[in-house]
Amino acid sequence: VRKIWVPRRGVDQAVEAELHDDLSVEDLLLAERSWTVERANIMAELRRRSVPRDGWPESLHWNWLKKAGDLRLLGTTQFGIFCEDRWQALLMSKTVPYTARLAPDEGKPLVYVDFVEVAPWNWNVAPIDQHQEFKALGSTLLKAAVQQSLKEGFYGRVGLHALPKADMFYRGIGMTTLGADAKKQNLNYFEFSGENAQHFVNKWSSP
Amino acid sequence: MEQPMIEYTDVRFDDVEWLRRMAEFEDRCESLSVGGLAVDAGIYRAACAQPIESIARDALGKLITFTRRQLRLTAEKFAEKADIELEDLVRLEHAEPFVLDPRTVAQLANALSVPVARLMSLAGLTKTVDPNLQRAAVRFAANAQPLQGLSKEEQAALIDFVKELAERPEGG
Repeated sequence: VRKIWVPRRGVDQAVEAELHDDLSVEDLLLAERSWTVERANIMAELRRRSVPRDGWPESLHWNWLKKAGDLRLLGTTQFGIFCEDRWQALLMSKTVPYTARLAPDEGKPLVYVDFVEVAPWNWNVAPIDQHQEFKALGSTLLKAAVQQSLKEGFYGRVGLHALPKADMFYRGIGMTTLGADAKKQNLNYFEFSGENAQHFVNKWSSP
Repeated sequence: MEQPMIEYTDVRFDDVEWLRRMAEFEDRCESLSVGGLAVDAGIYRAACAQPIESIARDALGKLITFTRRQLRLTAEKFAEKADIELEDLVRLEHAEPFVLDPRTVAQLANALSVPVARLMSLAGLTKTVDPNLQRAAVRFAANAQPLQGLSKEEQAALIDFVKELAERPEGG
């Protein structure tokens, strides 16, 4: 567990939080349980305001609790940010069987991030005027994934498949897109080269 | 040539300026969700897929409803048996336009005891279109009315349609 800081809406100073890198399946399900309630509230509000479905958050319907028995999390590293008695964001990553696709490092090992979610109260949901409570959570978790890659000797290489509405974020932080991946429901595949990952964690500034 | 390795201890989590910049940028982004695990678990449904065509939707909805009623199962029980989301089942039975993912179709095919490939074709998830199946879907959608119990005509329509589904496509 590592002490970190996270910016909070409407407050100048960042708030102290914990970065965990050894979550258990129980921790994940506990987080999901509280997030599910909040997702239902957001869904109800979107329905009440007759917001068309394409304006809804893309992961609003995801029900991980139902899939708990199917999830194979062996060999996965789970990062989480804990603050004010609840999980604020989660990231899961693995190092096999994925390898780099970006030249000139094709075939070399990397950290593959297959799950990043922030708690629903940390979403910006414009149609219902909801603003995130804690900020920079995804960036901090991604920094942890880059750190894991450096620690493993992978030079910061990280790969992931972003949901369509998240493309802007991953392009903006300097990941290279290698286009739609037919094996992953045509989600765009993004990869951090070692150089870009190290730029992201140390010097990144807004594009 | 490999980049010079940076020790992992070099990664700082207390850079307040970096956090401020990231917070500002995240604020401008709609989402940062990642979908690899959701795809693998069958949770993510591709937004680029097309909703199924209306007659096929109608036929599929009635096929499910009638079969479920023949089996005397509630919607909840049938969704459980097929291992699909109840919400998806309800939307299918009401012929609502929405995007079906291949996993749901495969689970449904098993629960309905019809070939997966044929149901995929009906749902518009295959490239080739079978004209016989399309005609059968139109007949079935037209003849099957949502009555409380299955009439003889509806039973016959259901049997005909399931037969058509079970047959090999032309040239297949």
